[in-house]
Amino acid sequence: MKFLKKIIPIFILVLASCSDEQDFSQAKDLEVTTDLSGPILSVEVPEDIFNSDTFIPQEVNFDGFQTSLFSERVVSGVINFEVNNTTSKELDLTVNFLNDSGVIIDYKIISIDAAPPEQIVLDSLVYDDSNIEILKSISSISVSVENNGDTTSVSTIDDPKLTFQSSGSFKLELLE
Amino acid sequence: MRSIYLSILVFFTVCFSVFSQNKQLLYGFNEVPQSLLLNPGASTNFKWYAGVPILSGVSFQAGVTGITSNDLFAVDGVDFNTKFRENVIYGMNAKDELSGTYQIELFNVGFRGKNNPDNFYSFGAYNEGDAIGYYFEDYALLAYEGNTDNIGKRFDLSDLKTRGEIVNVYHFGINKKVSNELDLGFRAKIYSSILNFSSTNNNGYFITTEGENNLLKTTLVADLEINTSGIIELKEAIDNDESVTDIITKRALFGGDLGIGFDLGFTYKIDRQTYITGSLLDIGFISHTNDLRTYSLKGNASSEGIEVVLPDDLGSGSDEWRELVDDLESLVPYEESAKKYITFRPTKLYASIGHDFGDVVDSRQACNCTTKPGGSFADNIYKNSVGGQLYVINRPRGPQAALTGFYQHRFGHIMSLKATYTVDKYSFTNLGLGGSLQAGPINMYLMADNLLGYSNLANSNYASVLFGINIISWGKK
Repeated sequence: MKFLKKIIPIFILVLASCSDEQDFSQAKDLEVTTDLSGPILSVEVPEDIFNSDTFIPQEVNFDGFQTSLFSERVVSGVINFEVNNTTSKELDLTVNFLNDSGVIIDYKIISIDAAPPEQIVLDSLVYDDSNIEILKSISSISVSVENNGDTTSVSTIDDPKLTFQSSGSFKLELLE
Repeated sequence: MRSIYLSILVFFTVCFSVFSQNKQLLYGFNEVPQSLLLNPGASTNFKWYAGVPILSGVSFQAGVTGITSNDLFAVDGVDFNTKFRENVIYGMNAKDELSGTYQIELFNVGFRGKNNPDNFYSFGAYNEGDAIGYYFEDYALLAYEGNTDNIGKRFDLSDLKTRGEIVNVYHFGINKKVSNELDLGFRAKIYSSILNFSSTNNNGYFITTEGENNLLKTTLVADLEINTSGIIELKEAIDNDESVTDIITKRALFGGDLGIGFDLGFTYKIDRQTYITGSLLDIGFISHTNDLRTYSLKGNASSEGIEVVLPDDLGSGSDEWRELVDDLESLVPYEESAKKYITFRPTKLYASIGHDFGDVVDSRQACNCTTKPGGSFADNIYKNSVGGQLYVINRPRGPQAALTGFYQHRFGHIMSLKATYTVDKYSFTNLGLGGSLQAGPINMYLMADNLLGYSNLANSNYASVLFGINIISWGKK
């Protein structure tokens, strides 16, 4: 029994746990801002369209920036453009961003020389605290091209065309 | 969203762990009747026992690997975001897990056969909850970093693996002394599930690459499914401030999803003092047919955004955004349905080899008589036992094993202590201690492992405690 009287308190002491001080309220400080990228719009225009007078500005509906999942969390971003010209024409490409009322709220004009050789122009639009509301209001995108060259020549490059490509990278606050 | 994150954090850190329901202290601790639940073929010398309802067997285990509470919540002046980034996002991987389990015996009774004293019967019921979730590494990385700086990285959607349930188990077991050397045991079980969720066979990936017709291309290949049963009705009752007691009681009493299973076990005495034991537990399944809800996301899709090729698409007048979204949703549809499913119980294997030595403790049996020739020498109980144990459990990412060395000392019939040292993939410093105290017919036991972790629980990866009270009779001598 003497042994029991010794061993039981030891056993209880061992089980009586200690712990460093913990502050679980720190979890409220967690901030998560993720950086997501994706494709937006691509337009391909063969050269023969520029040799006629039928080209019309192409407008597409794009509600991606207005979805609540995006618009309520986006804090900044950049829209990247790449224009590739293998036609024999010097071209001015205009990208217009329109709101729900069809009003142009932002735009980018990209001038590109005639090919050959193949011409590539990179450009971008940056959105931050000062203009993020513009991004959130975009409802459609219009792409138009002005031919500053002739309407008869044909490029010596195979399958001559103008391609417009775009993507976006945006910082989204998942937790703030 | 914040509440979800907080819930995850709390789940990760407050739930210290059980790695895998390993009850290495109770296994082979034959002074405690509950050892029969871990090995129905354990050597017994009780005439009868009865557990104190609700208090005969209570155990809690919880654990997490890859992180401790201290890593995140210590009052150390380090910014929480820094700790979260270093310890969770870049400190854990898909093999890390958090798990927890509890078991509460509702009742447990055992008695020796009148006509055949070599048979010992036991029956009872217990309520058990068990959950395991692996760290969803690539989901967390995608949410935390995004894909902008991860072009070309394949985010693995199979990182979502989780399973959990609350179930009532009704059991009846028979333990038979086949010979002086061999005891065999079998236990039949009926499972009455109260709730279950399971999502263990997910596959797929999300990747962003350079596009062919645009700057970027995103690809989603998904084969994701989460099965639940018994959750929707409870959630609706809680949302409507209605009582859930009736629902739970009904399900606990065979009114929910049912399943069957069994345990097997043996003890074989190699000589008077050396023995081997083994058991297979919870070989069974539950068929989920009530209050079902299945969430699935299955399909393949790639997108380079809206593509306009002139002159074909010239002034088409269509809603290109809507078409894009509709196409993606049709290629990778999210669906909610009610699909019957089966879950297999997490089967466990125990095995041990042990050697008894020291003085013989007088038998507490009414007599050392037996129907077997050669007398009952094999029932001798020695003051000391030493040996090793193996434990394996089937988990969603494959079997997990643990090796235990043990020493048990008996202080006459009054008290028995068992000390263990366990090694598994999570810890090399797991020391455990269990004691059983016999005060007249009253038996009390208390066991805890990972004792070193108790010196600073916040820095421990897991903890487990089990205790109980029984009334035991060995008959009149």
